[in-house]
Formats: sequence, structure tokens, C-alpha cells
Amino acid sequence: MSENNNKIDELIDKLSSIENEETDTKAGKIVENCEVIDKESSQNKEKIFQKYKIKDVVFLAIISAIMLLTGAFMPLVSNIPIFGIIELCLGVQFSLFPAIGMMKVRKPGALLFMSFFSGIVLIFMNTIMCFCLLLCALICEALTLLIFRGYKSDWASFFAATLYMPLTLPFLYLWYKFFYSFTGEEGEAVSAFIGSDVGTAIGMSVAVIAVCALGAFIGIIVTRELKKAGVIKK
Amino acid sequence: MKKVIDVKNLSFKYADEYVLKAVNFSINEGEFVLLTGGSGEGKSTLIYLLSGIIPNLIYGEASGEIDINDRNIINKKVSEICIDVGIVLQNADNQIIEKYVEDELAFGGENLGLKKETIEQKISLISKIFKLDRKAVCRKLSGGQKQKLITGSTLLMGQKIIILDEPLANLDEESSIDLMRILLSLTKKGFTVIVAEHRIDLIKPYVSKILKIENKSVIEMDISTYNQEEIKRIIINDINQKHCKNPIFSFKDINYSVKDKTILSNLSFDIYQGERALLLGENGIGKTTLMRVIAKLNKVKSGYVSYLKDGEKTLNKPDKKWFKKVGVIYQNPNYQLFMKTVKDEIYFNAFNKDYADYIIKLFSLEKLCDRHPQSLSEGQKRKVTIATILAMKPEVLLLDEPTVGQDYNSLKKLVEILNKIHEETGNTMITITHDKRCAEALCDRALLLKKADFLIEGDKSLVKEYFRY
Amino acid sequence: MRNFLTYKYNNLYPLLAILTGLTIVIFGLVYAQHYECTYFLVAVYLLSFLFINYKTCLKGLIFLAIFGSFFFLFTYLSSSSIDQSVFMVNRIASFTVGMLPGMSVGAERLTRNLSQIRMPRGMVIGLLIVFSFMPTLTEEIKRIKEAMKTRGSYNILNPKVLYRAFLIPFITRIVDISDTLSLSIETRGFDLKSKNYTIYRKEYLTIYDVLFLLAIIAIIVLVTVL
Repeated sequence: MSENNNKIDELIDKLSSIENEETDTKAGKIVENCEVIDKESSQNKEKIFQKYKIKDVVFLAIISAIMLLTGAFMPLVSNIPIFGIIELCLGVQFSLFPAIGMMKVRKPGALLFMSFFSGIVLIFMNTIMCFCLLLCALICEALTLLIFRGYKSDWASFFAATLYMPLTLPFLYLWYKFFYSFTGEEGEAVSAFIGSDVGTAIGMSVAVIAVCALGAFIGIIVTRELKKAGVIKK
Repeated sequence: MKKVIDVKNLSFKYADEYVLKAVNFSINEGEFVLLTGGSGEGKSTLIYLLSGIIPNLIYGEASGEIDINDRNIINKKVSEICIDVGIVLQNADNQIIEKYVEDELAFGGENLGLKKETIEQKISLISKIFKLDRKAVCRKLSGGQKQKLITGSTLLMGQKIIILDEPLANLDEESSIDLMRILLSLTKKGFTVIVAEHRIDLIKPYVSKILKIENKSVIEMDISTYNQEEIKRIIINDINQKHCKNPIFSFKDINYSVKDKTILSNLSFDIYQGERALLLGENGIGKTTLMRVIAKLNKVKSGYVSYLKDGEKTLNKPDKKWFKKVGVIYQNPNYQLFMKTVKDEIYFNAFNKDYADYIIKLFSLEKLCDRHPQSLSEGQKRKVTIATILAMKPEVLLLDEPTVGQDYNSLKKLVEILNKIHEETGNTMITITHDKRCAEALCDRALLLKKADFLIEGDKSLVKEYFRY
Repeated sequence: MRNFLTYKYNNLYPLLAILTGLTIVIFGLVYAQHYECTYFLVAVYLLSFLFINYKTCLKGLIFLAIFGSFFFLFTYLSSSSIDQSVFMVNRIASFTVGMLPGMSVGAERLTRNLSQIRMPRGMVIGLLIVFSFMPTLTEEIKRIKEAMKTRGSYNILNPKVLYRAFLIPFITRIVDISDTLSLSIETRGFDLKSKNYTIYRKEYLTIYDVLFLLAIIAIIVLVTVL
């Protein structure tokens, strides 16, 4: 046993003899930096665009991981040729969790971050959907900023989370229209994809919006409750 | 000797309530300091203040001075403080972000911009010190190894002051001693180590200073006399024992393993109806697994029989009826609390309303009835969880470390309530605990799990022997 | 010089692997309505055995066999056209074959590679967390479902139960975990703005990566021309 201890002592001796040359110089840099940051952050409180902190990024990343986990069956439904089936199946989790993410972080770009984090996995599950989601996140963010000027109000998060999934519908439709016509079998294939009539498409769209609104609503309620209880701070 | 930490007149206020008030102490270079104190007294707060987490990342009002290497760190950024002070937080499991051990070790060094060669050298030394395989996959490590990994990752950053928050929480005795030895060696080489822990018996032989947080201030304790003061056992009059010798659960050669790790192997014993059984054993030995087997949360292939009414078929899935009879209380109360108010929580699935009210009264929860369960302190949450399960009037009560986070008075009350309910209902109580203060008071018969395949049965004297009273 | 047989698998340059995967998926989808697509996918699949761990390739084949046959039947029953059914399998196969290079890379190598090309720190750490916390989160979900049962709430499909007994504890745990993790990351010196960081292990482009890309391009050209 004592032999073992001696060995550890020896190793620790070696370890403590290694100097971190660069650290010291870096310390100086950080001090300078952080004063600047402090000044900025105090000014930033009133601004729409606030700087992201590590805890924001971490929370959004974990929320994205949950979105992916609960939406892992996407590649299975994505090949069922019914208009809006993906959105219908994923609507709840892709509105509920983003709503929670936006409600906690309350900074512009949260939705975009979540789309990016989940996109890197989605890109292989459903490439088109991944790009659609990124694009829709961008549009949602822009619209929310225009209408609500930031995420201070809960309704801003509700609005963005509700719109997020349904917005992909027209883009997916456009994609498939372009994609199918590329092969020269336009009419037949598009109608096969949508379903037999336009009614189905409209019905599905309404259903998707309803599902997403419900998801976003639940997300808002959960966050409000936990915020009140002090679990979610600031 | 050089003072590395000098705290002067430090106060900390959170939501208008002082957690620490006018604290003064200093720590010298090369000291091994144990920071102790009851749960909720402010151990974590002090550690967070020393590492700059408070008030940078967790808000609150701090005043006074914390000089680290003669520089006041209050209101300095974490990224600056972390160059001098390394902190190892609780729950290693939730801190690992890389796939391989060597990458996780390198993480801190990469962030500080250390040279590649320096990182490489340090990884090879640290992996040897902590006996970690640098190519191993982090997720596959045991709890003890994960704790070592996170400690190593902090050590690589090269700070001379290292703070550890409850590092032994998930470690068995052997890994605890390993870790303590390494920390001791570090202090010999000029590192300063501060450990916040409640498993004092394990740490005491190694430390050179004990600081205790009490009544919002920090007092230095005398090492030689410290232990006697700490154990203030709860002694209650022996309760009216009604239990008979009919087994309620019977185990014959049960085996349980996860992947290739054997946790329980060929264990045989009985639990009798109406007894208070105490399950003892080192961390990570398989007590919780055993309790989960009893609750049918972990399935064993054969050998387990329960004689509970409607529960005879052992290997069927546990249903609603089963959990009405078998009350399980988790170690972490956050999993089991979900209603909007404490009152709703206790009423939910309660035996009946009157009984729920009775339980509320027993636990003196009237004042908390309208509060949101998640807004309570950890100790209160635990109390509510226990009340919730008791309100279901289960025939069997399984308690996994029910006393963590309770100070002496609330612990005493809790033990009294548990015993009172036991007397009234004649339930079978199976408790896992590391709490010396109350172990004896919750025990008719003790089961000491020594190894995966070795269990000793005994009475209160076994408890005494185990805790070395 | 190493030959293909002794070549260490799973060593494709991460970004290139992703890019190649994407090319396969997009090309496959665009040509899904043609029988040539099938030849293309078969060729790429066989080629993958040379560059990607055979176990990964076999897993892909199993996935394709199960879901491909399901969707083949599904499409055949709804459209009663063999052609349409084959094209449907083409689409699923495009994703499967396209996934192989990406799957062979491993999240830690991809994030390291992204660090190397100086992607913002926040994005890299976020991706790393997404990949490494999936198992932890799965475990959490399992535990909460269990805890629900011990409190007598069984039906997770009931919205009220889902909300109260599942979401409330789940989000509480998530907040807990993310708080610990962000404290740990920050106290280990991570800084979103820092430009002065080291990448301890770097990824390098090798001749095999170039060969792999060239081979895929060659197949694409062959299929398009023929």
C-alpha cells in the first residue's frame, strides 16, 4: 500500500512541476475583457438583443436533445405519403419544448439555436425537414421580433412556438412540388403525396396548427408554474 | 506559511435572508480543510462564494472580502477566478460532456489555452494518479470513477487551490480512501484542498483543519474532539413490537446484474411481516438495487416471492394495486412531487381524506399546504414525499435515505412519526440509511450487505458495530 | 503504405463524411423515381465497406431490410404499382446509405472538427451536449415514468397525467441538470468569447478521404451518364 502511495506522490510531484505558461498571460486578457462585458451587460438590460450566457446555451442544447429524443421516429413517418403527417406527429414536442426553451432564455435567437442543435442530427433523419426547420425558425424569430419586439411577453414565445412547425408545411409542399416535377411526373405524384383532395390538405394544416398551439400552450403553462415555484429562475 | 484564502467580514444575503453573516477565517497554503455543517447551513453557499459562482452565476448579495492569493475576488468573473481556484461540483454524472476519458480530462486545459504538449503530459500523469484508462468511454465508468474523472479534469487546469463539494456522495469506502489519499498527497506538494462533506469519519484522518458552519458563521473546530460532538443519536423508547415470523418477502438465490456487472448474486434472506428492517452497506454495494427488486422496479428472473395479498405472483409487472400496498420513497424527492400544492400532493391517491389530513397534522405541514411542492427546500421536499406515500397507508414502506437534509430536530420528529405510523398500522418498514443518528431508532433487524453475494443478518448490535458507536 | 484491408476504420474526416453523406442523400432523393438510383445506392453501399466499419454498414442493411420491406408493402398495397414501391424503397435507402459515413464519424470527432474550423464556441459546446446527454435524458425519462407508477399515476397518454406527473418533474430535473452542467463548464474555464483555446486532438484529412470522395463522384457521374 505504501508503495502505491509513494508512486502517487511521485506522479503528483511531476504534475505540480508542470507550469501553465499561457495561463498567466491569459488572466490579464480576461480581466480586461470582463470589465467590458460587465459594462455592456448593464446597458443591455433594456435592449432587445441580449448576449447569450453559457447557461442559456446549455439549457437550449438539452431541450434540443429532448426534442430529438421524443422525435426519433421521424424517419419512419417521413415516408408516409400523407400531407403534413410529420408535422402532425411531431407537432406537440416541437412546440412544447421550444416554448419552454424560449420562455426560460427569453432572448432572440433561442429558436434558431434549438433548430441548429437538433438540425445536425435531423439532417440525416430528414434532410429537407432540417433545412425547412432552420428556415422557419428564422422566419418565426423575425416575425416575433417585428410583432412583439423581443421575448418579454409570454405570448411572444407562444406565437413563435405555435408557428414553428406549421410554417414548414408550405415549404415542404414547395419542395415536393419542385422535386416531383423534376422527374417529370408532376401531377400524379403531387396528388398522391397530398392525399386525394385539397380538403385533406387543408384539414391536415388546421390539425397541425391546433396540435402545435396546444403544445406551445402546455409549454407556457408548465414554465409559468415552475417559474412561480422558483424552479426556473429569471 | 502563506495565507492563500483570507475571508474578512463576509456576508451573504439571499432573498432578504442572511445565509452567512460576518464570516472570518483564513486558510494557509498546503492545508487540507474539511468544511462541515448541517444541511442547508450554507456549505454550498460558501464554496460557491470562494469559487465565484456566487454572485456571478447564482444571484444574491455578497459583501465583505474574499482574498485569494491577496486579491479580492468578489465581483470578479468566474473565468478569472477559475485560474486560481478549481472547484469540483456534486453530481459528476451530470457534468461529463465528452465521450472519452482523455478528452474530458483535456477539457479544462483546452479552455485555458494550454499547450498541446502540456495537456498531453498532464493527461498521462493524471490518468495514472486516478487509475483511469484514458481511452475508456466516460459513460461506462462507475460512479466512483466518474467522480475521479471530474476531479482529474479540474486538476489538469493547474490551480493550486482545489475545492470539492461532497465528493464522497456516491463513492464506496475503498474509492473514498483512494481519493482522500490522492488529495492528501496533493497538499504535501503545496496544493490547498477544501472538502465539504458530511461523511466525516472517512475524511477526518486526513484533514489538518475543520471548519464548521453554524448559525450563519464559520468556526474552526478542534480536530481531536470533533467526532464526539457530531454524533448525537436519537434514542427512543422501544416500540411495541407486533411483528411475527411470517415472511412477507422471501428471497432465494436471487441474482441481478446490469450488462456484465453483477450487483446481487445468490442472495437468500427473508423480510418478516410487520418488522422494521434496516438495510446497511457501503455506497454502491447494491442496497438501492435490492430495494428496487423488492418494489419490483428491477426484475429478477427467479427466487423472489412476495406474500402480500394480491401480490403473490412475483414476476408479474407491478400495477396500481401493488404500489398502493408498497410505498416507495425515492432518494431524490424531485421525481415524486408533481401536484400544484402540498395539500393536493398529499391528497393525491391518499387512503382517504381524513387520513391525509391526519398525516398533514402529524408532519405539521399545515403552514406549507398552499405552497408549491417544488418551491420548498430539499429537506421539506423530502418530508412532503414521505408524507405523500404514508398518506396512501401502504402495507410496506420502502425508504431510501429518507433523512438526508434534515437537521437534528426535524430528524427526530421524522423518526418519531415513522415509528408512530408503524405502530398504528403494523406496516413493514425497510430503510436504507447512512445516518448514524437515526439508524438504531428505525431498526428491529439489520441486514448488512457486504458483497454482491454476502449478506449478514443481525439485530441492533449489528448497527452499533457497523457505525462503530 | 497501409492498404485498404489494414486501414483503420472510422477514420473519415468528419466534415467530409457529413458532406459526402448529404451528397448521397440529395442525389438519391432527386433520382429516386428512376431505377438507376437503385444501382447508384448499391454501388455506394458496396464502396462503403472499403471505407467504413463493416458493422456500421451491416446495421444500415438491417434497418433498410426492416423498414424498406414495410414501406414497399405499404406503397404496393396503396398504389398497387411495383415501380412506385421500388421508388419508395429508393428514398429510404438514400437516407440509410447517406447516413453511413456520418454514423461512422462519432459526435466527439465532428465537434472537434467544427472547433478546428473556428465555429463559434457556443455552437460547438451545444452540439457536444446534444450528443452526450441523450443517454442521460433517456435514463431520466425512464426514472420519472417509474416514479409516476409509485405514486399511482399510470396512464401517460392521459394529458392531465402527462402534464402533472411527467412534465413537471421532468422539466424540474432538466433545469437541475442544466444548472449543474453549466456551472461545471464555466468553472472549468469555458468562455463563449474566448479565442485562445487549444484543440487537444485534431482531425486531419488523409488520402483515403480524398479517394472516398472521388469514388462517390465517379459513381454519380457514371450513373448520370449511363
